[in-house]
Amino acid sequence: MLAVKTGELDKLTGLFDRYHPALYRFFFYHIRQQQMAEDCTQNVFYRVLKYRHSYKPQRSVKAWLYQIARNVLNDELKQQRKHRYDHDSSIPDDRQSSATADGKLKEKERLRLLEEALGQLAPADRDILILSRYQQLRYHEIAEILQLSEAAVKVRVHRAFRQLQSFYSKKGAL
Amino acid sequence: MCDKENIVHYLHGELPALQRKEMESHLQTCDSCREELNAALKLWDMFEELPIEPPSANMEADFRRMLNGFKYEERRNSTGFWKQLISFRLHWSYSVAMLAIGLLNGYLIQSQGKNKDIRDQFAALSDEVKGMRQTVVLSLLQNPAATERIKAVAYTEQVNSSDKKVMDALLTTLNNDPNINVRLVTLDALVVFAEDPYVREGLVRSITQQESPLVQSALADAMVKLKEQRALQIWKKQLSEPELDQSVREKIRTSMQAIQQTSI
Repeated sequence: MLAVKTGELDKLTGLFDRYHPALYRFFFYHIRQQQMAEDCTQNVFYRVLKYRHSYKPQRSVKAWLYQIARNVLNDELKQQRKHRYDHDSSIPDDRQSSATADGKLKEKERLRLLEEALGQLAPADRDILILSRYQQLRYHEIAEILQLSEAAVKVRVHRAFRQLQSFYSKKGAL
Repeated sequence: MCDKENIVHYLHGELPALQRKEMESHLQTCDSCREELNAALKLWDMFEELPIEPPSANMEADFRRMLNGFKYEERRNSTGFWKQLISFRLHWSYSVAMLAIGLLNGYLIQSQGKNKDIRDQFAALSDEVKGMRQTVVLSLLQNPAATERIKAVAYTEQVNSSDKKVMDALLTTLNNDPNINVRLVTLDALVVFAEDPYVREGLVRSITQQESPLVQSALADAMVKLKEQRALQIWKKQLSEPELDQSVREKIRTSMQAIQQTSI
């Protein structure tokens, strides 16, 4: 990143190769649309180029990228106000057939319920679960991204997961 | 002692070693906590199975396109800025130098050349201005704006025909500039220097380079004005080309007659 900052823009390719799969997943889990997730991922790297001078060497590149990614996501969601997480579920609705379904369909149904439960979470809770569980970031990394203390991250992760469990079990009981 | 809050951190692998060991030994004995762990684990594992649509194959190509586009923009902006700055500085320094020359000239006339030092200084300054003028012209001729290039051509009025660099730049502009107006202005400027054999030859050679009827006609007028015999041979050849513009054909014919008449 330092090389990019000092003008060696081609070095960004290395960062892209390394981080774009994870960033794409980050966006996809949030917005569930391939094209939009791709656009957002590109946007992160565009912003890296544009704001490369503001990168501080003492910061983790990963945390900086995720911070940009969260800003891109917020801007995107603001633009698409109508968007709802659970509107474009990637899992086909098999509820009709689930009564007679085999194990595979039941599995799909469970995943659908999980997606719906995630969609019900407050954005901040969903955010922290995506960062911790999907992106498998360490708490200290999340703390840096969200500019919180590690203790606060711990509390939030616990609360978000609890909430998710609660939504999920309620849906499962329906 | 039950510490259910830590179960999720345990799953995340975020418990310090000591706490993790304590948790593991507690789970051996506490059914309630074990149940809690199993329920959390079930949901935990499901995360892994949530489907994800992989990115398209275009993503990397799009990235490279974006990077190249950014680099291009950056280069363009920076050269644009520097070019503007240089151009501004050239204009500015040119004006200041001209003012200085004027003042010095006035002073020299007053002192009627009594002071040799001042005369030397004047000569040096004069050389400097020549160089600067050349730089201004050469720089402005490269400007993407046609109006700036026309300005450059106007500056050449004060350039000497012995300045081969400027003459070459003007001839190149006459033959290659994409803008007709710039080519026409350049032609007028070059005709002023046509006494110089180098410039004159350049003008003659330019006849075959021109495609615009307007410039071809203007060049024909210039040839008549210069009574340039060498143009006759070139025109004869051009008249045998069927694709030659009709108006240019007529113009060439009358110009040939005009030159032949003056040579009698």
